[in-house]
Amino acid sequence: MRRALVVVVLAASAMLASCAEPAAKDVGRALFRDPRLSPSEFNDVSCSTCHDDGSGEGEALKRSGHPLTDTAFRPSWWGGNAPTLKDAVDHCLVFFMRAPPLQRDAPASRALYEHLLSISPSTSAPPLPLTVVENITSLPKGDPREGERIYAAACAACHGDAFTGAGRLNELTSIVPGDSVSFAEQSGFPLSTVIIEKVRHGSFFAIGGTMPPYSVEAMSDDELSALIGYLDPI
Amino acid sequence: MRGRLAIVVAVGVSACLDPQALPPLRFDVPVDQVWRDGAPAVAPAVSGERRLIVTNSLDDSVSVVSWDGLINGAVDNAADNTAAQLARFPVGLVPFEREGPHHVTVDPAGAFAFIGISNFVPGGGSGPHGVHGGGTADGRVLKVDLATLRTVAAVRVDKNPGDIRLSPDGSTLIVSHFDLVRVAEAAAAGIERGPELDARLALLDPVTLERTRFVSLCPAPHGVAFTSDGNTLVSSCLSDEAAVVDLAAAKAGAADADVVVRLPLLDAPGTGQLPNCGPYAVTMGPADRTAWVSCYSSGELVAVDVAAKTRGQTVALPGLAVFGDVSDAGDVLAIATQDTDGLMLLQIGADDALSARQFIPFSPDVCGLPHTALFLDGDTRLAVVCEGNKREPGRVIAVDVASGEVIGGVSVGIFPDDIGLQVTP
Repeated sequence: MRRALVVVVLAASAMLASCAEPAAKDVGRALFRDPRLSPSEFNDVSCSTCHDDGSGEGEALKRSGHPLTDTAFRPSWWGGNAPTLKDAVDHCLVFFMRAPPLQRDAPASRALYEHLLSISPSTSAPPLPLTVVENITSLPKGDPREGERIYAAACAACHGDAFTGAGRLNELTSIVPGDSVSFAEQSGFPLSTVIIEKVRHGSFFAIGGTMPPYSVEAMSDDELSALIGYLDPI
Repeated sequence: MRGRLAIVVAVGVSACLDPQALPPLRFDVPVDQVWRDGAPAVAPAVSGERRLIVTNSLDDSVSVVSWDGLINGAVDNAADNTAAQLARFPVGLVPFEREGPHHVTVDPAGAFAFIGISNFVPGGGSGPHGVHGGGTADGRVLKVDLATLRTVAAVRVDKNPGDIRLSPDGSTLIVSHFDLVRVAEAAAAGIERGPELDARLALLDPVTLERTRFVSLCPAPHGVAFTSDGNTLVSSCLSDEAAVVDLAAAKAGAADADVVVRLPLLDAPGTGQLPNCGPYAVTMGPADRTAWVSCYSSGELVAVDVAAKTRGQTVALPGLAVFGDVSDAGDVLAIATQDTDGLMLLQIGADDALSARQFIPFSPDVCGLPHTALFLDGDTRLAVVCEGNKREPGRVIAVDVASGEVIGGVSVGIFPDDIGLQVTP
């Protein structure tokens, strides 16, 4: 109780100080969690939707992006497709957050950079592997109970509850698997194939939308099998 | 405890700040060090240095190869940066998706590379939404700053950009479109010949990348070659034809019909859908008298008299003919060949008559599927791009012309295709 009070008092003090002249890295930390980093009124996701910045928040989540601890000094990002850190961040903004690339010297840009710098104690961190499955193959249906857990960890934050969409980010976000069922019926492909494609390709490969793909590192084939077992049990 | 406090602070800060209109902040990092990009992507080129800019079409990258490193004994190394491969950097507009960087050319100042993005990517993505691109998406031209390896401009062109070349004075950028999809669509509609098969030649301003003119050309034009004054261009056409383009007239606004002259390369030419010769590449001869068209289907070279716009000598090669080069002295034509992998050297005689001089065969481990060759070092050496097996890294090799020996080689990316020469003044 006393500890909590200390936290509140310290936080209030810090907030007052911050509002007066906030430290850029603290603002960057807030922006990391703020969908308003994107000026688009249609964006409801933030950096923290897909990445952990070492805070330990949402530990149970299964995010599509790598944790960003030590990210600032890696030699490349996005599996080698982004040669600079700013390229990597800009890709996220453009492809997933409906935003333009950051202006290098804009206050929000500088603040976000200082936050990323503050969580990067290592200056020699290696690049992280990121394997995108270009050509998808069918997978067996796995344990639906495990699939339910995977859904809760990986999908629910954006898509809300499975089958109903309750609590999803906004009305533009598809209900899972309902919208996939519709597309499966329309295209003639099995529902499991449609789900695999969406999870593995996200918005890329001519699919559209703003969902990030799940690489092999972010979700294994076994986990994807379980997800199919939950969403497409028949 | 500290972490929790930081989160509370972050939430508090967020509550009182609008990310799009932040008040003055206390910065720890000076503005000139924000988003620092670490070490330079490539060491600055020194005056007189020669670098080969190589497009790797199946991994969306471009390799920067030191020619001096290559001829001075640099050896293969699969790592990204070796003594000869100074850098390999990603290109394209969409991460993850392979966009197929096809051909490349470098401006005379050695400052910029121009790269055609073909979006022809066999096997690049699958599922209910189909194979991505497959040549049905429009192509792009990228302008890359060779000092920073950053793409500084991009422009849309037609589907399947093929060759991309700068006029000798650097003032006009030309893009052909090897549009096999158009040819196939015409076939599906039962159309064997006619304008429905014809792809366009794009003329661009290399400074702004403005598309200044499109000229309807012929079925699936691929290789192009300028005359030295930049006023005329010869293109291969898959319909067993060559096209001679009056660029001066095109720039002056003449109608397409008054700009392009097409001539058959065979007595009995096939069609764009069923070619017999399969025109693929063009090499301009000395004094602009003759352009040699490489036939990928028949393995022949067919001479075109550029001024008369007529067909001349046909020479059979040991393999399927692809891209090549003429020596600076104008006495030797080097053409890479596939199927029978190697490099064919032909003597250019009086009236540009060709005679066989030497065939340099390549084993698959040395140079599988050689695709283009470039004379360097006063015609004493050739740089050759080797596609390889298209699953593992291909190579760039240096060949000594006199001995035919391979004197250096380096692994680059997957399916290397074309080569541009960066010479720093």
